[in-house]
This record gives sequence, C-alpha cells and structure tokens, in this order.
Amino acid sequence: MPQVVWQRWFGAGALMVALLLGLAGTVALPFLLPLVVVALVLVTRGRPLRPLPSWLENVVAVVILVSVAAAGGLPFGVMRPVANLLVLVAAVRLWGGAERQRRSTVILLLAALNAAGVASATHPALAVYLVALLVGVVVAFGHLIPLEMAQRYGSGVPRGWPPARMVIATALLAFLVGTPLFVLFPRLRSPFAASGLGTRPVSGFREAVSLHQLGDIKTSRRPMLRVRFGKAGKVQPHWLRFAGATLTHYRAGRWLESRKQRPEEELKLFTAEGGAVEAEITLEQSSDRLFLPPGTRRLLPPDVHVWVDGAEAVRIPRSLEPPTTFRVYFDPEAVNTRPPAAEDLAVSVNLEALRRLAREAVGHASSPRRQAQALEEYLQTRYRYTTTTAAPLRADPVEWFLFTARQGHCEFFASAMVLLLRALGIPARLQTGFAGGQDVGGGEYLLRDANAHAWVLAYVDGQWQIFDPTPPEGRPGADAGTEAISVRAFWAKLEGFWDRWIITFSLTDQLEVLLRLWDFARRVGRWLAMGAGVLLVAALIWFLWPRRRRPRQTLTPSELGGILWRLAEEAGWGRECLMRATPAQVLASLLPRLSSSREACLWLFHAHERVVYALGSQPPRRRVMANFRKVLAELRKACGEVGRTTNGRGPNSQAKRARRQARLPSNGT
Amino acid sequence: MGWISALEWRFPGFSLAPTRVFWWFLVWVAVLGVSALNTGNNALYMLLATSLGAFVASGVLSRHTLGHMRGETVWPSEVWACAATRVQVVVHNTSRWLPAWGVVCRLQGLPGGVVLPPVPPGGKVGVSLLTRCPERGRLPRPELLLEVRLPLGFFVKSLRLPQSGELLVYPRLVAAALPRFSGLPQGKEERGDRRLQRGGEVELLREFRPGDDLRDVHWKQTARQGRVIVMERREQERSLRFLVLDPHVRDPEDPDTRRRFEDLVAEVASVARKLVHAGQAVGLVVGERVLPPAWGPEHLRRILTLLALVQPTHGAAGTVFAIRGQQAVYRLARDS
Repeated sequence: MPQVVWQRWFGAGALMVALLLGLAGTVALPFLLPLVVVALVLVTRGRPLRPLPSWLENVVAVVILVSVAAAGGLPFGVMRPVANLLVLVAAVRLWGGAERQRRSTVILLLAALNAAGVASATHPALAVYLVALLVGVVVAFGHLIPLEMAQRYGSGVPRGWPPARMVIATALLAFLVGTPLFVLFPRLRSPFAASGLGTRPVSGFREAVSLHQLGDIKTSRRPMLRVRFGKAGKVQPHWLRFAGATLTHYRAGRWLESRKQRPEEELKLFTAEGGAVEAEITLEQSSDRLFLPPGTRRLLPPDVHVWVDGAEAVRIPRSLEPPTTFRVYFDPEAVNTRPPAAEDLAVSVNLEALRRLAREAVGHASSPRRQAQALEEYLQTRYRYTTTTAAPLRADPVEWFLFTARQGHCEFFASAMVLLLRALGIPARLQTGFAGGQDVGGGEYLLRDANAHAWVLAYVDGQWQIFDPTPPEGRPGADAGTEAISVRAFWAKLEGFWDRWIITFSLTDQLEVLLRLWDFARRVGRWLAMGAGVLLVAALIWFLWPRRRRPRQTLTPSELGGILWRLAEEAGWGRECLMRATPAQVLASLLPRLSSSREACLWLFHAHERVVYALGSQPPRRRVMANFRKVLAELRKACGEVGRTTNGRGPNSQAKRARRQARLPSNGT
Repeated sequence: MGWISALEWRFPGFSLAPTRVFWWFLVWVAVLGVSALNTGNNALYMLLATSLGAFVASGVLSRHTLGHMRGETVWPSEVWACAATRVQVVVHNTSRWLPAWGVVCRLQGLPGGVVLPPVPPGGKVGVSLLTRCPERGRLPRPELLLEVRLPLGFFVKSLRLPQSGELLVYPRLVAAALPRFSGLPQGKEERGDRRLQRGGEVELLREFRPGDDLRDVHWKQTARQGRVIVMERREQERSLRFLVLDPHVRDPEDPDTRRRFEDLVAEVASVARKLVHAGQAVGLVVGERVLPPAWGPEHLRRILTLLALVQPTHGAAGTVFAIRGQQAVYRLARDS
C-alpha cells in the first residue's frame, strides 16, 4: 500500500535527520527522543498511522511551547530554540504524516531540520552525509513516484527499486555540477561570522579577547602550527605552549593592547643567547604574527620585516604566503616577557568583591606563589568548563563568571585569575596562544584552531610564571601518537583540507582560486583554446549526427503490407477481393505461379505475419526489397492468367483473359 | 512559453510541465541561498550546491531517458466507442547504459495510462494499456505519449510519438431490444420463417462457418471427420430484413440532435450485431447506401464500418425507398 511506503520513508528520513542533529549538537537529546521514537514506529509499523486527534494535538502544542521555553537558550542565538521547536513539531506531524494532505508539511519540516543540522556541522563526515542524503532522496523518489502513478492509473503496483545506474549517475552529476557552484557562490561574509540568525564563533586564536561574545563556540580543526623539536630528548607536555599575545589592559569585558609598533629594542627580548630547547615552527595559515614559546630566548625569524607590538607579539606582514617557518630557542621553565609594571595590577571591576573572593580562595596561603597556586586550584575545582556562554551585556563578564554563572571557557578562567591575582596585589597578565597538540610522528606536533588557549602569567618569587586555571577537561592536551601513524597523518591531512578549503572557505580563498585558474589559463591558453575547440566540434557532431537524414533500415508493418498488396495486385487480385482476403489466401494463390522466387515469396509473407501477429522485429529493408523485386520479376515474366484463389478466380482475372483473347489473332486471318 | 517552443523545435515532440515539487524546490533554494549568504556558513553553501547539482542532474538524466525511447501501439481489430479497449504498447530503450524506470505510457487525448516496468538499456518491453475511445469514426491513430518524472520529479517531461495509420472506431454498444420488422405479424412470421429457414432438403455438407445455425450441425459427420460439419439446406424463400437508418435531421449542428443521433446509431449497431450473432441475415440501409442482407463476421464488419462513418445530414426525413422485404426504420423523432 503506498501510504505505508510513504510512512516508512518518512521514518527513515526522520532517523537520518535525528542522527545529524544529535551528532552536530544542534538539539539536545531529550528533544530528539520523541522524534526518534516516532520514526522507529513509522519504520516498523505495517499499517498506516492515523494522525492524532486535533484536541490532543492542541494539548501537545502547549506542552511543546512550555518545554521549549523552559529549555531556554535564546541568549545563545535563535537557532537552538527554533531547532528544539521544529523537532518536537516534526515528531507530532510525523504521526499520520503519510496521509496525502500532510505530506508537504512533513517534508518541509524534515528539510528545515536537515538544513539546521547541516549548518551546525563541521566534521568531514558531513560530506558523506550529504552524499547519503542525495542517494536516499533519489531512491525515495524512484520508489514513490512510480507507486503514485500506478495508483493514479490503476495499472498495478510496479515492484522494485530504481536502477543503481540512475542513482549513481545522479549523485555523480550532482557532485560535478555542485563543486564549481560551491567555489563560485558569492561570499559576502566570513565563515561563521555573526548574523541575525545567531552567533557561533569558532575556536581559534584571537588577539583581542572579548568576553561578551555570545553563543556556542564551534570547534575548528584547521591546522595552525606545526612544531618540530630539535634533539632535546622526550618532549614534555608543558613545552607545547605558544604565545601569540600578552594582554595587560582589561576594560569592560575586553582585553586589548596597542598594535602600535614598539621601539626596536623590544626585539632584543628574543635575541639573547641560550635556550635549552630548539624548535622549528611552521605557520600553516596566513598570520600576522609568530607564535613563540613563552620562554623564547632567541628567535630566528623568517626573512621579512618583523616588529613587536604592544601585546609583545612578534608581528610579520600578513601578506606573507604560508607556510612560514622560523626557528626558536627557548627555556621551557622560564617566561621571557617585560618586567612588571603598574598596569599589571590594574583592576577595573568590583575590587572589594574580588578581594573577598580571592582571600576566601587562597585561605591561609601566605606567599604569592602559594596564593597563585591556591587560586589556580580554586578555579579548577569550583568552576565548570563549558564552551557555551551567555554573559549578559550589562554585567561585567568576569564578575558574572565568578559570582553568577560559575562556568565558562578558558578565557573566563584566565581573566578571572588575572583579576583575582591583581586584587591580591600580585602582578598578572593574560597570555593567549596555542597549547597542546597532536603528535603526528617523527617528532612533529600539529596544533589546530581547537588548541587555542588562554593562560595566566603571574609575577611570583621575582619571576614570571605560567598558571593555567582552566579545568583539565577544557585544557588542550597533547595527543600521543599511535602505531597507525600513517592513517592518523592521512586523516589529519584530510581534516586539514576540509577545514581549510571547505569549512573556512572565504572570499579571499575564492579570489585566490580564481587567480590561480587565471594564471593557469594564461600559461596554457593556446592549448586550452585548442582543447575547447576540439570539445566543441565533438559536441556538435554528437548533437547533429542523429539528426542526419539516413534511410530507414527496417520496414514498418504497414510498409510491408503495402509490398504484399502490390504483389497481389500484380497477380491479378482486385481491390475489393483483396480487402476480404487473408494473407494466407493470397500466398496460396501466388505460390503455384512461382518457382525460383518461391522461397523469397514465403519469406516475405512469413515476415509480415511475424511483425503483425507475433510482435516480431521489423525485417531489414534491404532484404525485403530484394525479395520483393525477385518475386515481382517472376510474376511479370509469366504471361498466363493470375492464380486461383480458394474462393474461385478473382473477378479481374476473367476480364484480363477476355482482353488477351481479343488481342490474339485468330487462325486464318 | 517561448523557451518551451524553442525546446520543441530542438526536440520535436518534447514538452515540459513543472510539478509542485519544482515550485517548492524554488522556495527551498531561495531560503537556503539567503541563509547561506547571510551567515557565510559554508555547510549551507554545500547543501545549496548539492541541491542545484541534483536539479541539473535530474534534468540531464530525464532528458536522456526520454530522448532514447521509441514506441509503437498495436490496436485490436475491433474498437468500440465508449468501451474499454486494450491496446498493446511496445516501448524500446535505445540508450546504451541507462535503464528507463518509472516511465508512464498514455495515449494522446484518450484516458488511461500504464507505468512501464524497467526497460533495460537496448531492450524493449510490451505492456497492455486500457483506454476508451470517446467517439466513433475513422480517426488518425492517437500519438503515444511517454512521460518521465524521475529521478527527482521536478518536471513532467513527455514525448509524443506519432503513430501511423488510422483507426476505425465502431459505434458504441447499448442494450437494444430486437426490432419489430414491418411485414407479416410477428408470431406467424417467426413460425413461418423458422420452418422456411430450416426446412428444405439437405443440399450439401460443408464445414461450419460462424453464423451458421447450430441446429444444422451434422453430428455424425462431425464425429467422423473431427471437424464441425453442417448441413446446408436448399434455401427457401427467405424474407429479406433490413435495418434502415435515416440520417436526415433538421439541424445537424445542434448538439442535442447530434447526441440523439449518436444514440440512434449505437442502437442500430447493437441491434445489427445481435442479429448477425444470432445467425440471422440482415441488411442495412443508410440514406442511399444499401448493404444487402448477409451474415457472418465480414458482413457485420461492413455494417459497422458504414455505421461508424455515417454523419447526420440536413434535410427532411428521407423517404425510405421501397425495398423488397421487411424493414425496421430508425429515425430521430421530430421536435414537437
């Protein structure tokens, strides 16, 4: 029954959408469960489901609204509550959705949820999902449309699935057409930029830390740094920390520093001798700065103009093409930065509250080092790590984090610790950069956007030291390598390609691709023009060749019948008699008159019989005409009268005999 | 639409009609495009590119399927107006690699359709299509219409394949009572006729022909020879029976008159068929055309052909010229 088939397809589609929404994290599990349950019922049930009664749907609608409102999430952006609402509405409409008048609504809801899930996904498996979705849609249409047509015309139910070739050809063609479209679609915004539909910042290094940023942080796996350590023995986890900016000034929820170039002597920070560990660092992406270990003593920069800005960042021209490689020598146990200054103690928020909290956190610790350690532990254990934040605009984010939300990401933790240390009179700075990384083998480590991190520099015991108050689950770690290095490396490359050229494809990248194509075209212009000309000629031939005039190779049944009619007329059959005679009768009258063309005549009549009565293939024209000419020649050669028919002589035969007798001379005259 | 005319010029017999899926797809693409532009989300761009790629792929493949289809129809020997008629359709798929799936076969201007089973590449299938011819007459054979909606159902693409030859559609059959022929009273006539028809000496034994009276079967000879043998008696004086159809009407263009005339023709055809099947010899007079009484399928075919082609003509009720024998006259009653 078609309705059951529709129902099962809707169930399968809903399961696919639920899988996507769950994996992408667009909708929480409690909201997905009703959809999954309904989908399973639809798939397994053998009879069509009726829609819910309208009074029950009204009650359920109220429940849906209440649960969506209770789940909240509007501060995170409209996407989440809208997705929650759509999922629950879809679950209700799916029940009995196979009925004809409800199908459009169900399809629209599933399509909207699908789009929401796709928009939230960044994993390379999204490509596989899209292919599976396309294949599923083609197979569903190929299964459902013939059923609907058969039901409309009452011509039975066609069995079977659409041919595999059709499905594969559709998917391949869609990919071939879609790929250049994807590259050429205009990009008016940077990927994941803020929009009216909701903000979703992506993980990654930011030189200006703004704690008011709303929404979830989407993890980007774009590769940023590749680090190869020199002969230094086993790499320690704390070596994997690379600073991009050191921030001192905090105001209204933002850490900002001047980008202005500092005096030349600042670069001397990185020209000292020493540094126990050597590392070669490669920037995989275009960047305006170098990321250095905090304990860098000596820097061998790339061969471009470098300068240091107000955030102690070693800046390079952004136009430098990646990859950019440079070498550093660093002391893993030290931090090389400017001496403490007055701004390292500045607190622009509620100092009393901070002081109170800091004293409570440090307890009886007396030395600055112990106090810093106590604060670090306090934040790690008493606060929760999350990438979902919703700091209200009117409150200070650090105060909100410390006293209200008690959860946040690394920037909140680091900012809070810096301000708490300052409240205790300990100079502190915020440092941002990358930490952790993935061991890809051969002493090389790969750091991605997801490894972006923020930590604290505190001036204790006469030196700057690093503290990391982020709980362990939020701290980027160092992934150890495994035996399957090549597979991991391949997957890392794949993910890198995906992040670089798909997820973060921007207007700049578009222009880059077009410029490269233009360069390529200029280089091979002549060959390209020739190739295009050859293709054009081939296309014209392919298009026009079937339309050329060529003689038909076979004869239609009516043409064959006309040939037999001609033979019968030649044999003396009159028109009226022929209309009443059968081919067998005509053949029986011809055969006695033929000798050499007898076989040819038999073949002609049998061919006609096969074509007309047995749906045989049409005989080849050449053979038909050859046999026809043979029989006709023999019939014309015979000077006698026409043959007999089973009903007697044809009426025209007597007339012919009379005419012939009139022409013959009589004896004696 | 001008571009559809251009399509027809390039692909003769080809036509295109958007479906509801197409209009919803346009909305989907527009909303998706605006969302992708607004957010810069490359995943949405991927979905949009996939959707548009699928649209193009669907168009290319459906056009390929349709462009490689050929078909012909085989009509039955007798086609009756307003009666279910089973037409054999043979469809060839000349594509070398793509099977044809979900193709709907219809006849231009006639109801009914059938969904073809899968047609393999380079192969053919034959199906039976049930249709109904609405009116009698000699008509050109209706074009064969092949429709394709797959792979994605955005358009209904159809191809008209002209079929050579003509079709003769007989008048429709109705439940008609046998007429009272003018002449001798019915009862006496029938009795006498029966005796006259079945009386007489046996002139010869011959093979059974359709229309022969079963009471004339010679059973012994039949058993001996293994085929049905009948006795042909010396024909007595048979009464000649004619069905007379007067085609003259006051206003041939009046729709009501035409409808009534069609009913009349249908009745005459049904009566003639019944009489001939009953083994009776009956002739037909239509205007000035006379078919002498005879029996057998060939004679019935002549009667039905004449009735299929008769058209009402303007004039006063025609005078039925005197014919020897009995006649049943069919004529439209005048308007009061």
